[in-house]
Amino acid sequence: MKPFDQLDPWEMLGLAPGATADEIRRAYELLSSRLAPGSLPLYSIADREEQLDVQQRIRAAYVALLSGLGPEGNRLDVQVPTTLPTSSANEVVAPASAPPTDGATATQQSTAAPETEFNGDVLRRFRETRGLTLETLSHHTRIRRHLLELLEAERFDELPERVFVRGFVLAVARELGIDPERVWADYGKRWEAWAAARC
Amino acid sequence: MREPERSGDLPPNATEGAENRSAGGGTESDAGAHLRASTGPTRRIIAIGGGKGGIGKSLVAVTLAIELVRRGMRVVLVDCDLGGANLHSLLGMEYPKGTLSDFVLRRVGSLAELVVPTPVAGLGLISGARNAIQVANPMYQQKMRLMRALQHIDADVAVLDLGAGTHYNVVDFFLLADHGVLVVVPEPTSVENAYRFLKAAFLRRVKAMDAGLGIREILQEVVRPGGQRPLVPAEMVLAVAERDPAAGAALEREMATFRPLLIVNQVREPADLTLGDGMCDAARRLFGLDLIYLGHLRHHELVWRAVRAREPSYYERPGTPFALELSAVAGRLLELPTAGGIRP
Repeated sequence: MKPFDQLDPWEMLGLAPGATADEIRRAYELLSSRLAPGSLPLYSIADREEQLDVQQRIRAAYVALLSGLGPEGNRLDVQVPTTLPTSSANEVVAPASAPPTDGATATQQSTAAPETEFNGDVLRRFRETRGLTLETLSHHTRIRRHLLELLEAERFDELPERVFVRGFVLAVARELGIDPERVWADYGKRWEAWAAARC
Repeated sequence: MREPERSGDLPPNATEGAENRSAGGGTESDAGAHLRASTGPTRRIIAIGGGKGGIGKSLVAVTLAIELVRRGMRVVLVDCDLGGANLHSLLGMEYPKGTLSDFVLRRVGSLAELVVPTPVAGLGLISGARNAIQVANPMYQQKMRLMRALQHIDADVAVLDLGAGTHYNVVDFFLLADHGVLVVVPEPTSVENAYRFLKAAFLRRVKAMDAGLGIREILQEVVRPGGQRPLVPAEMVLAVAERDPAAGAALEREMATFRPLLIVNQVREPADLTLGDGMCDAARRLFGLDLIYLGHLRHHELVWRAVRAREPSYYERPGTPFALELSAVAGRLLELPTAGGIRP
């Protein structure tokens, strides 16, 4: 049994991986009403802030299960493709950035060195220089194409909760052979700037 | 929450209990042998607790016992609310002469001598101590003797009605049972006390685990500084596992077999109906503990009147809305396996 903040989306909704969309929706509706902020079952075991966190995590699990998750229900933030496609496997040797040095991206690569800021657009260009389509990347990362598009376009308002965005970014970075934590350090700041502006 | 009285400085109530046998008149091994010879051990022990007073634990205990009798079982109710016993009142009886005090103080040799018939055919009662503080907080040896004797009561089911509070003398009887049942009512104070009781019971069980594993020592190391939220069971497992995987695995197994049951009592509004499932959802996710929800009992005016009139025949009447709810609760409980196999 895991602590609350480590539950995967299936565990959060109390479902076995593979549940249907209907089951997911029903579980979400029941759980989010039973454990709504201010509800009696949360009394004394979660303060106001924690109750809001409970609500957010339940919602995030729901969104993730319905939109982004592979059929096996793998946890997003530890998603490591078991087999890297050969094209990118060769390039993983250069851990921190560095897309291949073909003409068009040469300038890009020079700016992609330590000072590069990894935003959605840079991720897109990294993908393109790898010769990966959104479909292929979606297949390898098991993240839906639509979500990858949103990620590259930084359409944060349409993306799920932060923890899942982080999971997507880490998975994409690994797939592209870039240091995931470095990418998230930049991308996460952009997400947070957006979240702060939203409030 | 009631604070325990530890001082035990009141003299034993000499007038209490007519069968004032000489102390030590029967050893527990005598009693055990006697009972085993007659019918063998109890098949199920059900303990009714919940931390808070005044939430209808005793009424749940009495009516659940009656429901089990109706299903053909021989049932003994044991008033373990040592110092606050009142099951006899719910059953419309006078205070029985012999009580658990007599067993704890060794005035009788076996619990069987204390079982008195009740107005409900097939239901026996062992009354709790009237006012003896030294019995409310028995010495360790006395408690162990009582717990062993409870496991061998001559009946199909023993239903223990526990007192309020989370003192270990209450919690230990909860843990002794095959089925520890938490009763809550849809009120914040009750919910709070139930969670507190749950955590206290879990900690008590962890402390009773094999000392050789060193779990207590590890938990003491990882205890959080004051002011911070204390670790919940799932976090304890993680913390222990990080330091000692074997101990962590043992603790996780312990958690998996700790499965208290839940009854929501005195339901009045439709919104109250989700409390039980909600508490199970919350306990599983936020504590990492599995609660099993047995169902709810509504607040019924007629039940309340029966309590006030000390008129138990109402509880026996089949087909009332109350009886149907109770039957559903009992049915779910009886489907559960007993913990007998894992009890040391």
